Amino acid sequence: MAAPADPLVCRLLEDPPLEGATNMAIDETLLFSSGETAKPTLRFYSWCRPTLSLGYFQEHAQRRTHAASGSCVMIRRSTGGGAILHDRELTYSLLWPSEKLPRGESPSPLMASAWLYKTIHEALIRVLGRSAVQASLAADATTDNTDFLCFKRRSVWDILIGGVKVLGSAQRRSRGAILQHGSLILATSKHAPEIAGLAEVARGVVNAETIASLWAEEIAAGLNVQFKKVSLENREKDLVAEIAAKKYGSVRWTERR
Amino acid sequence: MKPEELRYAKTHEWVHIPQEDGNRLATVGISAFAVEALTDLVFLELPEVGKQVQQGDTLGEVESVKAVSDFYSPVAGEVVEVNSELPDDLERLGEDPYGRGWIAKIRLSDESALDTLMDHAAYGALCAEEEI
Repeated sequence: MAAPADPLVCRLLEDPPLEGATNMAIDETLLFSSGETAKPTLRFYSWCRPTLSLGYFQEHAQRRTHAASGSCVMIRRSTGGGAILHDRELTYSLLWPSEKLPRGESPSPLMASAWLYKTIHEALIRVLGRSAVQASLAADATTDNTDFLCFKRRSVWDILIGGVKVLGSAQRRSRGAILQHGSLILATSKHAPEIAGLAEVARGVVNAETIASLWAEEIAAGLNVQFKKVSLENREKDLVAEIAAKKYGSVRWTERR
Repeated sequence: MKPEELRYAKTHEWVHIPQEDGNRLATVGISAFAVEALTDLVFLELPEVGKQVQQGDTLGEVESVKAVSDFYSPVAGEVVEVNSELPDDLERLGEDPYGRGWIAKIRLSDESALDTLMDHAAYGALCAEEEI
């Protein structure tokens, strides 16, 4: 029997609350870095003000249908799916180099990675299980991709607690790496009162730092990685500033559709 | 078009290049294997007519339920026509990926890199290897 492979070193970033455009620019910068260096990165982050993010292909005019978030800053993600009101949530991003995908996962930049969805989401299910919270993948849920809000939609990898979606993720694939980011709703926001979070459906497990720490532990086991806590490199910071200003912070990008 | 008569890129785009000489017009699309693996396509963005592309340049974008991805041009040239009905009728991609699901027609500017494309047998072997 072959010996298990040595764990891959994975950068771990824990950011303070930031503006939406900066958060998206960091994820995009890390996607470039991961493709260039063939090294993975896991990042946990949050938002310094309630922010509505549109899915890549959504039309910005649709926000008019959601009055509760009408006063919030709006950005557009590079990933698909429905709009998310980022407020009381823990957000993560994982950047994984295509060449480090296991056998059976397509190296083609066209394909989604089921392995990443499964590994990251099942890791959270185990974390919640430690607090005796029964969460599961929405594998049998009816797929519904029409609602404006991501958390009113259902797809197979979503995590549900008692039928309520608490985690949704999306991927963007480039030539050299995959970006997967997702939102874990900690508690209902007044800007999206129809969306429940852990505080409402799983009392007692809403400390974001604790969840992030336990989740990272489970992700390390699932992906066979060893984390190294880091900050962005200077060249990455420069790129973040440029991408935030020219892309995610621009009306042209946000209102492109 | 018959899949056996097409050539393929590693990134799962197909191209049909007529045999006649002269100013050649290639038709490109996404393979049936890729369309099936992508599952539940929800959006597709076509290239603009007039766009100049090199082999491997981004040609457009596609969103499935679980990822947004670029697709790439298997040839170099100028986009001269796009299948403008396709974004509103994505079922064509699944039903007839090598016919009514075509994406763009590209007037070839440089044929030197065509040898890097695979024939149907080699592409089939690649798909088997990916085991999706």
